[in-house]
Amino acid sequence: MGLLDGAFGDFTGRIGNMVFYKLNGKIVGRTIGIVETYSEKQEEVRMRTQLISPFLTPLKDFIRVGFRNTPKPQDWDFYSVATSVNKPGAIKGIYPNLEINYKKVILSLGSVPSPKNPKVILNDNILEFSWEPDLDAGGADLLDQVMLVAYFPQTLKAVFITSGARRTAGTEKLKLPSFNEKTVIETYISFITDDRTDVSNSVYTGRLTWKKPSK
Amino acid sequence: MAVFRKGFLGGFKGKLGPGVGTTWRNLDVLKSRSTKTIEKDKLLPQNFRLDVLSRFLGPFKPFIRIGFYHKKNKDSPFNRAMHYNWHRAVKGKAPNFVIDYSKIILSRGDREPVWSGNLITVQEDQISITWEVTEAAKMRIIGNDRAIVLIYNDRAEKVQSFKTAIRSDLAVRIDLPLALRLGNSHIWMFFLSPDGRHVSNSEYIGELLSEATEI
Repeated sequence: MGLLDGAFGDFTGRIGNMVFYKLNGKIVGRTIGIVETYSEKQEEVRMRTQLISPFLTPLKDFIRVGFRNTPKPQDWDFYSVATSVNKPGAIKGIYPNLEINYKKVILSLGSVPSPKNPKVILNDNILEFSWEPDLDAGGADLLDQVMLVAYFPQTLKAVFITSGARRTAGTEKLKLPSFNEKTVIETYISFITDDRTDVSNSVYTGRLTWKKPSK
Repeated sequence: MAVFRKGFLGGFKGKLGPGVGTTWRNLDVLKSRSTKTIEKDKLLPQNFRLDVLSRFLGPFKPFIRIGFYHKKNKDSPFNRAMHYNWHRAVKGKAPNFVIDYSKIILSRGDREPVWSGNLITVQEDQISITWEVTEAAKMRIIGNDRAIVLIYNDRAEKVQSFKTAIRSDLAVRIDLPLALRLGNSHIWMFFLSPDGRHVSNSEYIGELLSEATEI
């Protein structure tokens, strides 16, 4: 991506297959070659992207809400924040044995108090979330609504709601589609204010496993 | 200080009729093509992989054109499909590669996926495919998505498509033509938005096993 330097009208960066950059005080341009080998560090970044991007794709509509009002540089969007938080933070292991650390994944960032003591149980096909409606915490409001996520790592799919019950309700249900085989479910919970201007940090509520009921 | 040493159009790299464009000591040169062919006993693993995968994906071409269409991609939808399935959906070791039917992906997109796709055999010549819609889904937007069911017969090596249902029907009943009742058949489905611009990821629904060789 070439960038225009406003004061002098010079390009720097890549446009098509030409690269412009400053060399000894002058702007020079050349055609770009084909990169065939990558260093180990570059390969690690590529692998991190390979892990985090399929994870965030089904959750795109959720993180759009979760990172909408997070402070960010001018040319960033919600997806930039989501990757910049989770790509270094939510991956464990040493290259080349990297994997997603679902405990550390963050799906919303804001100043509203997070859910206190959140719990979740799986009842047939319904996830029952519960939390303590603590209104004493600074910034907590009666009208805060809950946001719930259930993510299925095996199939790379997700079910979520971005406007559930009020904070005072203390419980909310998330109905899942029916399953045919053993399914792992990762769950997250977070709050959004009634006027949609702020969210809480998301909290990991644990991994659940759906098994075929034995007859 | 951009200097062109290549004339007006620059050099090129690759085959063009009987000639090959290449670079040699920083010069763009054109030379005649060599007559190199691969001997049969020196075939590489990727030669076998290419053979198996392209033979399989070939009949799906009209659907891959929908499922892998992307405006910005320089390569063709079929290229993208080959690339995506290359390592994911081919199992075994050279030269005995086989297709892993359940891993084949025929469309990729961010439309709401197929939830809990299920195959029910109603009669010998009639099947029913059901799917679900999550509670959180925006049915007003996705309800009219066309459900495209693809059935591949490995005896005839042909594909038949059935596009009679939309997403809000939640099921489709298919009368199997004679050709699909001989040999094994595999079923995939995906959703296409009414304007034809968005697709969901494709989902493997199941297989129809048949030992009949004549009816």
